[in-house]
Amino acid sequence: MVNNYLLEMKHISKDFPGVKALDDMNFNLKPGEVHVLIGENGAGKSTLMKVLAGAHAPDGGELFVEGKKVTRFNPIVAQKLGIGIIYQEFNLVPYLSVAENIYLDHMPKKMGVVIDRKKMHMDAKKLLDSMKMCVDTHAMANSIPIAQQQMVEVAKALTHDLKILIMDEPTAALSDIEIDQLFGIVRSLTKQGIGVVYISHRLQEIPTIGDRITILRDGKYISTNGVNDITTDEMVRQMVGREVSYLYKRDRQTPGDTVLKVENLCSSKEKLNNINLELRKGEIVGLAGLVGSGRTELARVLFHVDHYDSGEIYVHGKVINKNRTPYQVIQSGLSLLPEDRKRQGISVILSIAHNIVMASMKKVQPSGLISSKVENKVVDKYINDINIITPSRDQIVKNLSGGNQQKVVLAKWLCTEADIMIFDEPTRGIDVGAKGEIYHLMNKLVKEGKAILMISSELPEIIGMCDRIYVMRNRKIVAELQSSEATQEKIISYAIEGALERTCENG
Amino acid sequence: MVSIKTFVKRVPIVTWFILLLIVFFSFQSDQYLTVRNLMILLQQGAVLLVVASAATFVIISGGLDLSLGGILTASGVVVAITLNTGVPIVFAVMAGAAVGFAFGALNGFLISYCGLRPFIVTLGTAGVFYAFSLVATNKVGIRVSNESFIFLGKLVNKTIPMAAICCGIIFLFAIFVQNRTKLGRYIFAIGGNYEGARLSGINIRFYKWLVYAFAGFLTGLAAVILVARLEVADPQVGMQWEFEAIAAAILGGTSMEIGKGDVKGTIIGVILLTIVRSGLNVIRVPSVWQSAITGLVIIFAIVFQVSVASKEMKK
Repeated sequence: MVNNYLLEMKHISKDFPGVKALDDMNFNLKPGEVHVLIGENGAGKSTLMKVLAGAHAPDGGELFVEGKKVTRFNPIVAQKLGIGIIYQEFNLVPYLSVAENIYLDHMPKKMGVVIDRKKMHMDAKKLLDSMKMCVDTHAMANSIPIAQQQMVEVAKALTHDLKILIMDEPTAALSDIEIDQLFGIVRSLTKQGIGVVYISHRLQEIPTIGDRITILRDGKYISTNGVNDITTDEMVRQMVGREVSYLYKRDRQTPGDTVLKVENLCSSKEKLNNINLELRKGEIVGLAGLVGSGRTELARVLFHVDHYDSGEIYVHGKVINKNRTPYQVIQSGLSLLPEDRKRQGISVILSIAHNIVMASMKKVQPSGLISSKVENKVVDKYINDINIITPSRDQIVKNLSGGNQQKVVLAKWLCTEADIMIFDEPTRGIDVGAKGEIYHLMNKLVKEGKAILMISSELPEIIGMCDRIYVMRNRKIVAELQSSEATQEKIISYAIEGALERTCENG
Repeated sequence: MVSIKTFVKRVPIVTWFILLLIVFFSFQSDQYLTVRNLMILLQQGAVLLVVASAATFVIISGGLDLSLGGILTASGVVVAITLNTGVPIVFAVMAGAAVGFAFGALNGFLISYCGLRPFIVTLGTAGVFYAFSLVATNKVGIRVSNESFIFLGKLVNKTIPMAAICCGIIFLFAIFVQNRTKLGRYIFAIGGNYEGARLSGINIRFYKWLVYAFAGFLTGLAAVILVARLEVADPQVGMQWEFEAIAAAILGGTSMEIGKGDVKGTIIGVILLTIVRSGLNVIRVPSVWQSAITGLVIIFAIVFQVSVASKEMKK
C-alpha cells in the first residue's frame, strides 16, 4: 500500500442493533489538509469518529494509518498512532489547573516520582504561547471561558506525537471572533503537516477553513469535493437528499403592543450594567454578541433564575417583583429555552411525555392528581404539531437526535402557553433539516402573536430571523439595529471592543 | 405477542436469584415451602417494604436518608407511649405518622433549605433520633398490650397476615403517590436533572423538603405496624434498617446516580432480603454470623445488578 495518505478508510461498515451506522464508508486524509466532514445528525459522523478514536471496532472494511493496516481498535492504540480527538463535550477535569489538564496523562516527573510542577507550568506556558494563547496555566479549567477551554484541549492533544487531529464541531460554542482565533491555530497545525478531520454544522465557515469536504447521509458516503468546487446549496442538497427551500423565512408584520420591557436593569452578581430593552407582540428580537458578553446572563435574570439588584422588568405592562421565582414568572407568561439542552433543557432519562408536561403540571392537571389520559392527549398534540419524530411518547429522550430533543424542549415551553419566549441558542448543534423546522416554527409562533427574544452566536441566523437586533458587549447593550440595516460586519464591529469608535445609540 | 426471550430479559435479574434461593432452601427443609411459613415471611418482610419504599423516594430524588432506622425507632416509641396513656388507637397511629413526618421534615429542612449534604445530615440526625428514643424510654423497651392494637400486627388464625395487609395498603399508597401526584413526578425531574427542573419552574426546594418529610411519614406508619407486631417499642430496634431499606431499593432497580427508579420494583429487593434472612435460620447459621452473611449477599447482589444495568446502558 504505497500512497501518501495519513489516513485511509476503505469500505468501513458498522452496525448497531436496528441501524446501519456506517455503510461502505470511504474516507481519506492527506498530511497538512483540513478535511471537512458534514452530514445531518445521525448521518454517521460521530460513529466514523469513534472508529478512528478506537472506541468502536468496525464490522467490515479496512482502516490504514500512514499506509499500515490497523487491526486493533482501542483508544490507547489510537493515541499511539498519533490520532487526537477533541470532542464536542469537553473532557477537561474542572478542578485541576490548565497545566495539569494539558499534561494529565504524562506529567513531567522529578526523580521519577514527584511531579515537577515548575517544569509542567513552564512547558504548558511555552506550548500555549506557541499557539498565541494567553491563559494563566495555574487557572482552574472550569474558571476559563469555553473558547479557551477548547484551546487547552488542542494543547493537550499536541503534547502527544500528533499526526491526525479530529475536531467535532469545535465552533459550536464559540462566537465568530473566537472562531477566527481557533482557525489560526488549525492553520498553524496543518503547516506542521498534521491532518485535521473537521466535523461541522456551520456551512458558512467551511470555505474558510477546509481544503476538501466529504458529505455523509444515513451512514453512507455521498461525495468528496474540493471546498471551492461545491456551493453551499449543493452541500445542503446532498446532506438532506432533497431541496431545502433555504432556511430563513419570515413573514414580517407590524409588531403590536410591548409585552416585555426592561428598564435600567443592573445585576452586580451577573455584572449586567444598565440594560434597557423592549419586546413587542409578533416580533423576533435578536441578542447578538460574543460569548461572555452577558446575553445568557441577561436571559437568566429576565427569567428570575439569577438575581438582579435594581431596575424594572415589565411583563404586559405590569412590574414583576424581583424576588419572584421562575415558577411565578412562568405563570405570567414568560418562558426560557436554555442554551445547554442536556443540562438545563430536558431531563434525558425521562420520557418525552414527562418532559413536555414538566413545566405546566398545573395547567395540564388542574386537579393536582395526574391523569394519564389527559396528559397523553396534550403530549400527542405537541408531538404532532411540531413533528417530533419518535415511535412513542414514552420514548426516553436520551435516545432522540439533537434536533428532536430540542423540539421536546420547545414543546415543553409551548405547553406552558407562554406568550413571551426567550430562546437561548435554539439551533445549537442540530442539523440543517431540524434547524429549518425550528425557524419555521418560530415564524409561525410570532404570527400567532407570541414574542420571541433570541440569543444566537450565528450571525446569519440572527440577521435572517430577527426584526430587530440588540448587540451586547461587556455586559451592556451597545447597539440596536433594525433588520434592514444589519450586516454581519456591522454587528461584529459593535460586538468587539475598539473595532469602531462611534457613540452608542443605547445604554 | 411478547416472545419468551424478551420476557426473560424484562424480568429483573434479582428475580432469578430469588427463585434459586427458594429452591435451595426448600431442599434444606420440608417446612420451608408451606403456607404457614410463607405467611410468616410476609409478616417479616412487610415493615421493611414500607421503609424501603420511603428510601426509594429519597433515592430517586437524588438524595439519601440514613436516618430512616432512627425515625422508625423514635416513631415506634412515641406510638407506644401514646397508646399506653389510654387514648384511642387512631391517635397513636396519628402520633407515629406525625413524628415520622416531623423528623423527616427536619432532615428535609436541613438538606433543602440550608443546603447541607444529605449524607452528613441524616447520619447526624439518626444519632439524635436514637438518643430521643433512649431518653423517652429510659433505655428499656416499652411493652404495649392493647389487644385491638396488637391485632394490626398479628398473624390471625395463623393464616391472615395483618401486618402484611396493612403494609400492603401503605405500599399501594406509595405507588399511587409516585404515579399520580406532582410529588411523584417531580422527584424524577429533580433527581434526573436538578438544574433543568429548576428552570422548568418547579419549586425544587419545597419538593426536595417534601420528599424527606414524606419518607419520614411512611416510616412513621411502618413504625406503627412494627410495634404492633413486636408488641414492644425497643429504643434500638431500627439499627441497620436504613441499610436494608436502601439495599432493597437498589436491588429493585433504583439507581443511586441518576433519578431512575420505581417504587414498585422495591418489593423485589424486599423479598430477596426477607428470604435470605429466613433461609439462614432454615440452614441453621449461628445468629452471630447472620448479619455478616446478609451483608455479603446484599453486596454481591447489588454488584451483580449494577454491572448488568451498566451493560444495558452501553448498548
